[in-house]
Amino acid sequence: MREPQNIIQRLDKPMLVLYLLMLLVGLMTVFAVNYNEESSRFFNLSQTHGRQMTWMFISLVLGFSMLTFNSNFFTKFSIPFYIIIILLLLVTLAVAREINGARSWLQIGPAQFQPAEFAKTATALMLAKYISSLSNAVKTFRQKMIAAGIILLPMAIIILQEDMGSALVYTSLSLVLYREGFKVREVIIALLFGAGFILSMLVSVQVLLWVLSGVVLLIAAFSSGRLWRKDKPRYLRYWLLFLLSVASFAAGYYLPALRIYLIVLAVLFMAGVWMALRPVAYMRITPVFWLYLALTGFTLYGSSFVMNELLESHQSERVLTLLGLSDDPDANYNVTQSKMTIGSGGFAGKGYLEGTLTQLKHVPEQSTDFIFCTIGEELGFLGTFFFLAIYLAFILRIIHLAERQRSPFTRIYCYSVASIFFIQVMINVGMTIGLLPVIGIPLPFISYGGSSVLAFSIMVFIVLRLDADRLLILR
Amino acid sequence: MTIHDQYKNRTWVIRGLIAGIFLLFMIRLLVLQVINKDYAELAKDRTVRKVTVYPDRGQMYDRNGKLIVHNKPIYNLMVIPSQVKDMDTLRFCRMLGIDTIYFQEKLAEAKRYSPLHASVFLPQIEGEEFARMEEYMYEFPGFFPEIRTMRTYPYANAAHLLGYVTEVDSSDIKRSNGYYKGGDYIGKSGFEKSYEEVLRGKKGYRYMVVDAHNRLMGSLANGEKDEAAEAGKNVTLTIDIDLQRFAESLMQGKKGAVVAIEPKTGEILALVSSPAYDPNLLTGSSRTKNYGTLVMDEGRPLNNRALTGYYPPGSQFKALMALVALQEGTLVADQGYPCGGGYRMSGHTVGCHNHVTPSNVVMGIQHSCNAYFCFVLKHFIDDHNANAPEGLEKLKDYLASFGIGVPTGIDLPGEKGGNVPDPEDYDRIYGKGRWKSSNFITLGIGQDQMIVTPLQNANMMATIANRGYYISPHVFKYADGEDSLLQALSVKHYTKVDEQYFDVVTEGLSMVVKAGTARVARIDSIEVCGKTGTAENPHGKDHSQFSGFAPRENPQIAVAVLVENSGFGATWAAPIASLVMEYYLKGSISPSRQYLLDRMRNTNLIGTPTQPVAPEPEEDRNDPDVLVNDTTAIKP
Ligand SMILES: [Zn+2]
Repeated sequence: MREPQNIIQRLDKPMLVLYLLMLLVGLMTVFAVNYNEESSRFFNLSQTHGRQMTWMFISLVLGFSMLTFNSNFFTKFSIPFYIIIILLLLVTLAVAREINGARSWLQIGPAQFQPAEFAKTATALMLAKYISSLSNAVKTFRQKMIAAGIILLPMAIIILQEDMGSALVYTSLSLVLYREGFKVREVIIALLFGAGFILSMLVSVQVLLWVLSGVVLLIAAFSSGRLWRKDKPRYLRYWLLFLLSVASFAAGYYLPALRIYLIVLAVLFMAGVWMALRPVAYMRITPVFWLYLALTGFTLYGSSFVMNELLESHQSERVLTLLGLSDDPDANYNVTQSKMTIGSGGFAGKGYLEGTLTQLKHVPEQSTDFIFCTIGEELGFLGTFFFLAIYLAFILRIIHLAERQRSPFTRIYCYSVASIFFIQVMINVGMTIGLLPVIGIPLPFISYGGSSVLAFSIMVFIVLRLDADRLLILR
Repeated sequence: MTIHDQYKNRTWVIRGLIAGIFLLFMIRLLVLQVINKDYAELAKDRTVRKVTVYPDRGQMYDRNGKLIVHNKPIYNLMVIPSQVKDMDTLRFCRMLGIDTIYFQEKLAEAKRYSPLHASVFLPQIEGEEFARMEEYMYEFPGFFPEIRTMRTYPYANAAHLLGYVTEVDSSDIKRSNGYYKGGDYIGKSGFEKSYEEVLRGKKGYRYMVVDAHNRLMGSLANGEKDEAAEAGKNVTLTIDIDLQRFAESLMQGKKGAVVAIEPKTGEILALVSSPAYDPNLLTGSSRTKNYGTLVMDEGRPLNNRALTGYYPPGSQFKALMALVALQEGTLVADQGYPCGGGYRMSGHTVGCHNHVTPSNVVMGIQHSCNAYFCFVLKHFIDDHNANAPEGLEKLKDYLASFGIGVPTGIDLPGEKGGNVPDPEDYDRIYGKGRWKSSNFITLGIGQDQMIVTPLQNANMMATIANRGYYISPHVFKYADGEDSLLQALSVKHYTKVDEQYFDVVTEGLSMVVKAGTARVARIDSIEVCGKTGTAENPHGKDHSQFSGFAPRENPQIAVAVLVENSGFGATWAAPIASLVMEYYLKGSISPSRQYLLDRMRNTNLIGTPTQPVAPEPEEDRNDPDVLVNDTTAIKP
């Protein structure tokens, strides 16, 4: 049944075509970004696009040679691969010098690479290995904790590397957990965890607190009718304490020096009080409140920690301006320039290599994080629409492949890959069009960067390889 | 074995979520790019321009605090071709004083460079001229001024020493690791080049918001992002600009060089290369034209003869030869050698002139006896060494300790090290092991293959004046916070000759001026030490040379002078050197020597070597520096 000589024929052609198409788009775009009068030759390996082309070539050679591996190779080696990557991440954390605010690059001789890019693949394989090894879907608390732990371990190390963008990518794996049987509310908690992460970057502490207080107020209002009828004194006490906590927030707001301290106190106070007051009859709403408390605590610590420790000041400034919260007009410079550049493309764009703002280097980091601007400017709405459509087709194709597997291992792996591509595109494009905060994370296959192209290519070739054996059950 | 997949339907939730987000993005893009034109309009109307703020280049002062180099504003008219609209080209050209052909060519060139980036349209418009056109500038969108500064030189002197500043070329940009950008200025020669990093300061940047009509809309973020420029440091130089000016005036109409050094510090007091040029010629809009003229000039005014001119030292070298032989013990102070009109070897004669028989070193130097120093060289080479190459190596070593045959280490670019022949050089001519001291006997009188720059001559005299050490000659004296530079410039280089041997040689040099070949160099009440030299020139008249120092005790100045194609050392070089010494030490020239000053200033020796020149002073008639026989006759 296994016919290695036929592996090329058994590859999923639509998937392969979409992948190659995206490499081509990426190369053309990197060329366009760095196009100028002095270096108009396309085949010039010393130029940015030339180096990108070299990396793409390496990726293809490596990818196609990986197809000769037996599918069992990936199931067998997923655990060692995961362990090695975790060690590599730790080594990077220990030895890496800071580049662009993150300590995530490993220098090997003249080459630099980012282990975090490869850690995504390793984590996906490990998750697939673990969940597929269970005799049934993920059920017990212990199993769920292990599955979550597999994701959280590399994520935690990457957070310590101060590479927030890459860490955020891991939250997308909650989609996989959902598909594999986690409860909806568990996934929502996980997603809110991620959202809290983003939110904590997005919003100043005060605003966040007011929003959360509003949520509590709504819930209180929702449950008030029944509580009023059953237990009036308890209902009043609840409101009193709620107002007290709001007042302490306000005090914190007006006394900035005491703010964090007061806020923490208020949260702890509320948590204790709420436990004491908890009416047995209304157990149903307690998970929501636990969630609320966890989220508040996390975001309070998280946001101040993230703002002060993890994000470089320019990054948090950019985040704040996104919501109009910062008065530094320079901080929203990137996003405004980015939106202007995309907007100036109009319906049909200015034409390939005709992007005047691109050539003016109007947007910073335009060959990496803001590369989508170039597509927007030169190819217009038609370009961005078809680009997103191709990407959507690519992601949906991976999910389609996932669902036709006999082997849960491959299915879980494919879902992981789809989720990772999805969140990368979402954060990157969302940032350039001003829907999400500025978080530096590459647009797979399009952004300039050797590690990134290589890592995502490997991810895709493993999908292709496993899918070719879709009738097998891999363990 | 198939596991029952109870959550299969969840795939549609996931696919829906993903498709939903993509759809949301597409809608957002539709709004951003097609429906809402705000951002597109913004892009059309507004661009941020990063404007470089050029720091003022450091000014230069002479040792007495006189300003010798400063800056004045000048304007480059820039153009951004894509912003040029229909306009009255004729009027524009008339206003700028250019023709339409220039206009078309420059615009096309700018377009080729980049339609969107600024390039220089008309460089270096001077202040008053610019003020005249400024008020009409608004009628010509796409054109805007850029303020730069231009070097100016209140004294039109010391061009070679100061060097010049030009726009960077591509190799400068490459070398600078990203500091220089096209259009920046850089010191290209002389002091401007050596101390580029002290003088240039630090470039600053301003972020300006510009609208479609190229009007400045103000600075971005109230200038918070701007980086201030740091002005270059003002530098004090060691030269005395008045002395420099004086020396240049003496060298008018002559090719050659004058180098004056303060012996105990190594500070350069004056450094003249003649023909000189007005440094103001190499600034401003006519720079290119003037540079072309200077390059084509047959007198090669751009060459710095003081640092790179190659001349045999001739008899000036005799003092040094005496010193090394005394140290080596192959000569004692009261050694006499016979001179019957020359030094005779089998078949050849190194000629000499009429003088009393030199019975000691002092007389040998005083009368510049060729025969005497041929003996000195012969004994130096033959007495203590197994063979001639060993002796020559030893001599070379000694000379290197005086900065002869190696660069002196002056803090100006392009210095050459001269030449002292290697054994290999003679191996090549005569064959290995087939030559002896007699083959290069004229090395003892500063001929053969010995080559020295005027700077090395001056440094040699400074070394003798210091009785045995020199500090590398230098031009840098002081700049704020640059003390480390200064420390490097105060290292004493000791020679291999002990202090005790200098007295007798100094006495000889003093006698040269008192009662020897350079009596013309006498200065009232100051004891001058020095030595003439006449360098043979196969292409024409000999080069006249003199180097010396004064006063004999506690010397204040060492001077070397070379005048090309002018004859005996005592005719031109010695008077010029002594005038320079007198001017520096006394502040003026005594009336009794006024005639000498006039003659030096008013004689033109360039271009018409056959023209009759003023009669030579009597003492020069029998100049010993001229050989009766051609030295080449010595060679087999
Ligand atoms: Zn003689």
